[in-house]
Amino acid sequence: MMVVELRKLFRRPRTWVTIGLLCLLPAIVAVFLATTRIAPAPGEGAAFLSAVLESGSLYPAAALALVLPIFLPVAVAVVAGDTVAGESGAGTLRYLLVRPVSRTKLLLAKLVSIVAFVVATVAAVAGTSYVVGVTLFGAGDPVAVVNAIPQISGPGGGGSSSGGSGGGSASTPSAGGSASAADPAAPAPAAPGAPTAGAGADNGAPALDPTQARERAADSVASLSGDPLSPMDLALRLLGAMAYITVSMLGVGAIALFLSTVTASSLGATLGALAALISSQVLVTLDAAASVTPYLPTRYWLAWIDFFRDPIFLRDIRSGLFVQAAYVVILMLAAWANFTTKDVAQ
Amino acid sequence: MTAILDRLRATGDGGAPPPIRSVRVRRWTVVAVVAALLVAVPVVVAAWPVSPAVSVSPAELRDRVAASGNLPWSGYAEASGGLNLPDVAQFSDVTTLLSGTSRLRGWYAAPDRVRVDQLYPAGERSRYTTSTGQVVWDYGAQLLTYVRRDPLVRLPRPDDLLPPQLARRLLSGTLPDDPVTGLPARRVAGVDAAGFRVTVADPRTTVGALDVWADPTDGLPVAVELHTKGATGTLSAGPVVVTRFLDLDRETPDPSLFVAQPTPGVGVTRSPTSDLFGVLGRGSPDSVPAVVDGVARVAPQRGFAAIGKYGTTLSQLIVVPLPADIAGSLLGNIGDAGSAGRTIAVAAPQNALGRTANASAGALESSLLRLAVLRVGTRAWAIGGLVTDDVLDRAVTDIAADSAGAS
Amino acid sequence: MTDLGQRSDGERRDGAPRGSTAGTGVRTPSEPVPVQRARPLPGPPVDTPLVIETRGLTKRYGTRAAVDDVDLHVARGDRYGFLGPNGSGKTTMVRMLLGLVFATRGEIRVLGHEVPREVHQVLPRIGAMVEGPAAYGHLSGRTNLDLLDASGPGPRAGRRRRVGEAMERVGLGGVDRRPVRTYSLGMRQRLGLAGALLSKPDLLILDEPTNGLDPHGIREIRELLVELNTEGTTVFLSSHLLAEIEALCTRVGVVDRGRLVLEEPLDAVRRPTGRVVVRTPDADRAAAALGSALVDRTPDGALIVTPADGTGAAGLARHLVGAGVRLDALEPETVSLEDVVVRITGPGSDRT
Repeated sequence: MMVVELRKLFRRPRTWVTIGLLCLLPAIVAVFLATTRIAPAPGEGAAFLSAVLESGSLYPAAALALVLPIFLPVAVAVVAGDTVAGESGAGTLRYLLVRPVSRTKLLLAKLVSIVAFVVATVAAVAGTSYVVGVTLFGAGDPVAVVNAIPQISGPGGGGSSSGGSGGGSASTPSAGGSASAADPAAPAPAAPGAPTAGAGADNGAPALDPTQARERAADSVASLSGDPLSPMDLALRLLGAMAYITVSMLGVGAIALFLSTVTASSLGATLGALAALISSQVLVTLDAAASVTPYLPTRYWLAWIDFFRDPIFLRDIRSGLFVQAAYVVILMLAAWANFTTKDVAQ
Repeated sequence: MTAILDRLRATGDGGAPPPIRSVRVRRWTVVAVVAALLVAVPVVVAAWPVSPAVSVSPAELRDRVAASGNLPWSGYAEASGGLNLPDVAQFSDVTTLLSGTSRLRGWYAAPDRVRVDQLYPAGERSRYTTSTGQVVWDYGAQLLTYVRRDPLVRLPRPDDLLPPQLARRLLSGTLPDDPVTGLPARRVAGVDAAGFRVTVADPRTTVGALDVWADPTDGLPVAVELHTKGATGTLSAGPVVVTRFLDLDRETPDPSLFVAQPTPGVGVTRSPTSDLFGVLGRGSPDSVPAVVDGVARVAPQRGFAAIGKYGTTLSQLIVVPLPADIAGSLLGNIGDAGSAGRTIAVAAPQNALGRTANASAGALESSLLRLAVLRVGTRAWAIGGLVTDDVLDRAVTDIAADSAGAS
Repeated sequence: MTDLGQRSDGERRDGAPRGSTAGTGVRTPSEPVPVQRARPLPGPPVDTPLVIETRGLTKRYGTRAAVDDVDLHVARGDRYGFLGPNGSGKTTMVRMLLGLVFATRGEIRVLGHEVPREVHQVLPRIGAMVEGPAAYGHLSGRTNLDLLDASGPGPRAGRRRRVGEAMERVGLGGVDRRPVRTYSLGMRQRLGLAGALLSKPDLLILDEPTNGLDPHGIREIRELLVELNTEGTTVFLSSHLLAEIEALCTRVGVVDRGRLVLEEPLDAVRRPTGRVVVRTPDADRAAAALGSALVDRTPDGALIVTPADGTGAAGLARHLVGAGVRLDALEPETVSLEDVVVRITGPGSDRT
């Protein structure tokens, strides 16, 4: 039955169109970034987008960050909302059931097909964006790094601009910049003005042979914590993040699948799931709802970024897995309770 | 799920088959029970009775907390401040720190082997404290900064809000005879922590009470709450600053965690100090008065002679000289800050030549932290502390008067 | 095809003597046949000759009963016609037999198994078409059948052959790989039937199977069903088309507003009335000659006559010819299914 559902899913043109569209968005963004070389200010825009100019091998992460908030959940809600309601509306459901297919097995097969869809989509987005990223930005090209630094640290010692970066708080690592902007009369600190790439190379604490540095830069990428990530390490973390994103989508999938057993309209199920998601997104940002936020399906969606911290920060990832598992269990049980005792009639 | 289905089917075997309606009711009951169980698990865990391993008197616990500086730990804490300070240009880091929630990961092996990462949704700032200085990593700027030294008197930073740091720092500002009372135990990050409250008697400070929960066996603080007090000495209803561990590991962290490893290609720079006070405090020791509001200046730290520190308790005042243009923009900001801003009337002092200098002052108000900016002629100061308005006003008056005498 | 022995078996079970229904041929809601319902269905079902049996089957949607207290009996080898106007509950009934819709009350046994509890044991032996065909429009007919076969419990081996045979059987053997959405309604109907035939069923349950077919197609399907029936497949067919039932079925159940108002062998429904229809150009003379034996005159001039006892049509002919009446035709009067249905059912529930 699982095989049948997978064949149905992947022989559907709509599935491929959806996956294609999801891959297209990051590609478009990449083309704009590569032609203009204007990255969003650090800490603004999608995660990792500010860092991709330096290394295309981070682009899969940036691409996932682009599709995660809206595109991916919408696609999952569409596919999952259609699973049962679509078959019911087309009339094929009754023929499946008299084949016979056990209703419970059908639900599980549908869940498996949703998982397969998410896996395929996430893999396709990551795969295409890796190719696009490495083609357009190179895999950690040091020249790109050097080019990017003046844009990142802001023009002419804008200490306050870099001080306000990364979430706009905390003390300033470039306090030298602050000071010089703030008090021109004060004696210039050791690294006056904007810390340039040249200054970094000259003053860099561990003295590095330039050629060696260039080689290492060619395949290293900084984690969020600043440590270098080898290509292997990066690939593993990316896989972890992809797996986590896949799991994050299961909650949406389960909501849509449950609604799909309630209503005969796949559009209704999709919209219902999206409404639930949007409500959840709104509540997550609301301090007044703090008591319920840990239970919301989107609460830990961004925890995949924690795979790129060093050491990997597992707390939110773990919580996210529990929340998604709870949603899947409860909603699949509800779908089962509803669907197995429901009249299949138009 | 299939197992439940099979069991339901099996129970249906006895006697007449149940009508579908009752099957439906039964299955939905299963759903409701499972959902209730899943939701109840965290609630039950949270409500599980807390029983600290050993019982310690509040005073004893306070002493243990004060001496906990060498205990290793690693963990994750969230700190939130409810001061609602407006964003004021050069002090925005401090105001956002005390007005929002900070997510902090920390590793602590010894006072000079510490790493604290402040987490942002898509970025991070890390501060490594080593025996030779500090290293600051800013992901957003892709910049690693080697910092030689920060002054002892400096602006609050996120890592100060980790429960052990905050508890020890604030306790060191209380007096030995401040009353200590016990608080109900709490479970914090898996630790059954005993709690105590130090009520701060000093009328000059805005700090009303300090609530600390700590591991009773060795005194490692795991949660801290700070209450302010009003003009009559009544405590605020809720804490204004709350910090607590959500994850805590008492093992000594891996030493490799305390070494910043720069990724080739990121910017690396050096800086003598990472703190605004470190830059402002480089001037002459005479930039600030010797006595403010009747409190004598504490001997300045070498290298930061211009930072004036008055008192060693929670009511201490900090005075640093400001460049006049910064003072001007700060005063403008304070004027725009609405109810949080306050103008302080300053009598324009006469200088030695009998001419009257321009003087203006303003203060930024919050229930805990107060910050005044004073400008007299071309000179300016920032005056801050956890002090009451009267103390701040008197300090402003004193400094204005002193500036006239000095010049 | 109706096997009287089997039939009486079934009748005996529900305690109604055969004569009670055969006498009138009609059961109206106001005179229900006494049926014992309290007794549970009898023990091991393996040998039951009844392929479909329901007792007191009721389905309510809110307060409206779509199916109301129906006792259905379909014997092995029947070609059973389930006849009723639109909205009379036929489709609901079919769906309940297949376990798609759950009954509010009552019991169902299909092929000896209780439905819906054991429906998974019987469904593999049933081929069904419920309320029109349905298929995945973007796939070819062959792929659709292949998927359908793969979802069932059948083995992987021989799938291609099974699909090919089913396509062949319904006359879709020559169809190419084009997607189903380009099929005509008739082709879809045939595809649906092919799906029902995939597993070589012992029982075919077909809901309006000839919808959308041209007369040629209808005849083909009818011939196919008869052929399958002679091979041993019981056919249960629901339709609102009298002609279809009349042309195909051996037994007929008539449903009206959810109630089964008639369940008889078709031959019993269409039995001679014992009266004779006389067509003559000398109607008035004939009427005079017949006297009180004349029952009625139809608008088209035929005379309905009750012959004197024992003489029958032959005696009547001699009498009329003796009276100098010229005869065009003289035939025994029979009741048509339509007459029966119209007499015992009200207007369809789609008429208000």
